[in-house]
Amino acid sequence: MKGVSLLLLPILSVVTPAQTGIKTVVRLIESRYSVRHHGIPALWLAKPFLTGSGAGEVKIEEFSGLHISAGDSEWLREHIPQSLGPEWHPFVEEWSKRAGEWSFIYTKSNGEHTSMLILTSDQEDGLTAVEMRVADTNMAEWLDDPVRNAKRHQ
Amino acid sequence: MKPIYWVAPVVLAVTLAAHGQQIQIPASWDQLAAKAEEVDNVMLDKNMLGLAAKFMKDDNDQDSVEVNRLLGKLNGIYVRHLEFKNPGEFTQADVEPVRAQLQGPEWTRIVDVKDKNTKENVVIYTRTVNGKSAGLVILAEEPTELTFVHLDGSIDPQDLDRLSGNFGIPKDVHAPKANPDKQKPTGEKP
Repeated sequence: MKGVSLLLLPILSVVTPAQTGIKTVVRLIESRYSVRHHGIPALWLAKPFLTGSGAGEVKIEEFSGLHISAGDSEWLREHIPQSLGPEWHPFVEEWSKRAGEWSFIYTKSNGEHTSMLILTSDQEDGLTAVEMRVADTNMAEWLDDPVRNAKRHQ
Repeated sequence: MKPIYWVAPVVLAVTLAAHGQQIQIPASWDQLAAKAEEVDNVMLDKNMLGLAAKFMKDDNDQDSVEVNRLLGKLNGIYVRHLEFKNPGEFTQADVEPVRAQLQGPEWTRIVDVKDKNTKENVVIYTRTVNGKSAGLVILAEEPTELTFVHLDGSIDPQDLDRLSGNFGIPKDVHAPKANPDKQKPTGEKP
């Protein structure tokens, strides 16, 4: 029986797709740019406020020393969707050379909840990745004016 | 391969093509985007539009009900907006591959506005399949701006007014009036 289970293990690992999200993107960035991410200290303190604003299950990772220019973000734009797989959909891609900022936003929905993965980079803060569950009211705002909202998150 | 095996995929492909047709943005636009000062891409597929319809629904608001009705008929909204520092950074050769896809029998150019003073050119195409509306494309060129909007699905040009300014669609894109020459060209940043 144990032998059968061991035989099934590799098959199951192939059949069950790995969950992708912020960790996938962080790994991609780390391997591409040879950098290490860091979390936000005491994020748990801010979580009640974030939850109050409608966001849930917030995960934030920062690469504060990493400055990828708007022009150089093309590699990420091409490779992030490949890494995330089909469950995540590109939603907004916007960049401004003038302001030295860019953001890419992906969404995923399981019918009950909608999650959003936001990658944003600016001259001051470097690169930040955020994954969160979005409340219905916030999602309506996002869909109403996606570009303005993307710029607001930079 | 026996003929019977490839009939099914071909029928499926034709069926899919009849229900939704995404205009292929040429690879040269990625190179253009790399040159552009500002770029905005918005991609709302059928799933996202379904979410939009769900989240934005307000039965007490007639506008919301109407927008929901329109979203329910669309397969996708795709917007690309590029803004350059100097005129001449994109050429007609960059726009031509998009125009070429809009030359088929299903596509009709319903608006073509050229403004000699501002050098703006706005063209609106509609797609009709079996007598039914199946899509709308707006291609707006200015000396330093290039905007492409594709509403994939059943949409009446008159419905543009309700959607412009939302979902990444530039806010000054409007339905064609009786005299299109009087229309103000679009191209403002979404």
